[in-house]
Amino acid sequence: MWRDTVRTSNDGVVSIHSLRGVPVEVHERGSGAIVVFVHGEDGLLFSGPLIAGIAHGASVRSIVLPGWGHEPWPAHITGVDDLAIVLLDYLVSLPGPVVLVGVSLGAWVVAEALVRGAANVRAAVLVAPVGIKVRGRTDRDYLDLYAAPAGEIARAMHASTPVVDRTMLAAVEFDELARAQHATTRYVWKPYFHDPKLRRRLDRVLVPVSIIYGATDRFVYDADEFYTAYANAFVPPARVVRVADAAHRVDEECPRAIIDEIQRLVAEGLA
Amino acid sequence: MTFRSWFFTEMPYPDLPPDGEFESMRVTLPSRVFDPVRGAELYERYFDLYRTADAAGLDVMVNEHHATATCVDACAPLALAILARETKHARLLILGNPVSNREEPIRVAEEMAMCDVISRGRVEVGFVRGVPQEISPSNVNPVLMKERFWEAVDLIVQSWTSIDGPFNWEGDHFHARQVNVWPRVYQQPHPPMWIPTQSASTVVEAADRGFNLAVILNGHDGARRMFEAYRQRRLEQGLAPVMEHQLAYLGLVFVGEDDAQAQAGARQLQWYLQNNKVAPQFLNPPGYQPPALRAPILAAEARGTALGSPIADILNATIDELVDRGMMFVGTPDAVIEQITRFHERVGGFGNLLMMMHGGHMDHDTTARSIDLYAREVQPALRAAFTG
Repeated sequence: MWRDTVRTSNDGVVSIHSLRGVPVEVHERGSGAIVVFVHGEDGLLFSGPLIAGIAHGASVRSIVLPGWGHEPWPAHITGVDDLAIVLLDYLVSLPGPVVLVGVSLGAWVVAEALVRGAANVRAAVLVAPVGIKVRGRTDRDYLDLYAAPAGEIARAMHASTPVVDRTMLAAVEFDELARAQHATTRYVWKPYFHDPKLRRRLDRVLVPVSIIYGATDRFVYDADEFYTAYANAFVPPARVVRVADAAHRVDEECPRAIIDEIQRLVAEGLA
Repeated sequence: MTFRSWFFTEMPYPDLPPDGEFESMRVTLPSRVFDPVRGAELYERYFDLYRTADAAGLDVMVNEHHATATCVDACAPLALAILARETKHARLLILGNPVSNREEPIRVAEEMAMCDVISRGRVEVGFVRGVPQEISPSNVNPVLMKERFWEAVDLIVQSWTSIDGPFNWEGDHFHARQVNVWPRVYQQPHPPMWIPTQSASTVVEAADRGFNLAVILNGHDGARRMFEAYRQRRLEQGLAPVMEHQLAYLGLVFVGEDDAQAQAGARQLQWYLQNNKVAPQFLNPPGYQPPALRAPILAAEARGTALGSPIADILNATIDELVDRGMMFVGTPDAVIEQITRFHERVGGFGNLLMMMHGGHMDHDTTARSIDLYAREVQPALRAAFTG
């Protein structure tokens, strides 16, 4: 395993790690207790304010999963289980127990890593996690991003107008978004946004878990019911934080709620 | 090889609700719109037309689409099987089998083999990747479609050509045990294989494998580019020079006894172009094309210029414009001969004209008259002019 620092900027240090031959970009920012951040469907495109907020009191390591970013995407990385193993490989390279944070698809990756016995994790925060199925065979748990009109998707994801105006993205950001959607599609297509075995495995998780979700999240069929079911699959149940003014993209709409939860967990770890 | 003309109907179900009452002709149009009694009449009409084309001396082509009124041939192998019995002389082109979207390539190999034997070796097998709006009905991951496509083709070809007992296949996308396709295909080592495409990368693969290349409604400029790319690739790879029978073009064709009759027929053919409304979310799914090609489309969508139709640029074109661009061949026999001859010159030659000769509400007699005129007057002239 090696790492190679490729650049530094005001946003921190970017390095490329080789994790059992898989090249993975990691962005490091801030200092203090280590928080590992796992992005969602859009990669790190809209996560800047959240990461900056976490970095005020911690050393944030944001991992760019294979398929996102610019590193080559190895052909054998085909499923969310592969992403979980990449994350596990990264975690064992870190000193001391960390707080692990994942957003949406990233939270699914975190959950898959946790059920495989993640080392070096003190606590986990799952923000609007996906990855489990609660309903029956004719009822999707997640809005069909490949069939719903754009307006319906926008309303599912955001409680109000997105902080970042999508119409104002630069060409390179549309490139990044296209790559992110390509990668997401590769991983979530079928079964759609879930692993049928995950829900029954969550009771294997031995570290404290918090679930943060937006009250008006319409990407899942019923936010309160769905995330309660998710939380109750852990033993003991995950702590639940319901954010009133957010939909599925809690990380964009209310980063403060996530930062507060992380800071609480970091403080508990230091105590 | 002789110049071939292939009759084709998409088998539309034309009795639609008013345009404002549905969002998309594809994927979401409720099947309650389809009246099975009317549907039975239409299938009878379409298979009668195929028989008429066969009797007139044309070859015939079928295709398939799913969850749409534009094409109710949802299972092209079934249509091919019917035509294998109902026709006597025509070559039978299926263009094609959407093998990315099907779970069992061996089943496809068996279907084609049966039709080839029943028709005594008249089948030509096309393989298609499928249009973006077929992704939801097939539920195949768009990122994987291309990989699945070529693996399925490889498996099918091996299953046709392995005749000394079973083999096994454990690929990235398909697994098959004790593969031993019965019946054996009639044409040895296998039927001619075709691929339609709009993509330069697929042209390369088709050229390398020697598949016949079909270009669909691209006009003369698009067809010339694709044919040249195919020829160039064969040349670069040191492969046998391209013969015209390896190249095909699909256009809309109507032949009338006079201009008025031809124009009336052409207007009916335009139904296909003007009734192909697809909701934007089905047109540009992630994974169907590389991110670099999709990014500018995403940018356009974000700025409110979403695509509304896969053929938006020709949706409202006049008949004259369509003729000028080489998408439609319309007129009296002499006019159609002149248009196709000019097209043939502009694209550098090709050996197969795939002819959508029926559209929308066009009835049997109208279509049959056009078929008859084409077969009696146009095809012989083209064959005399183009056959080497």
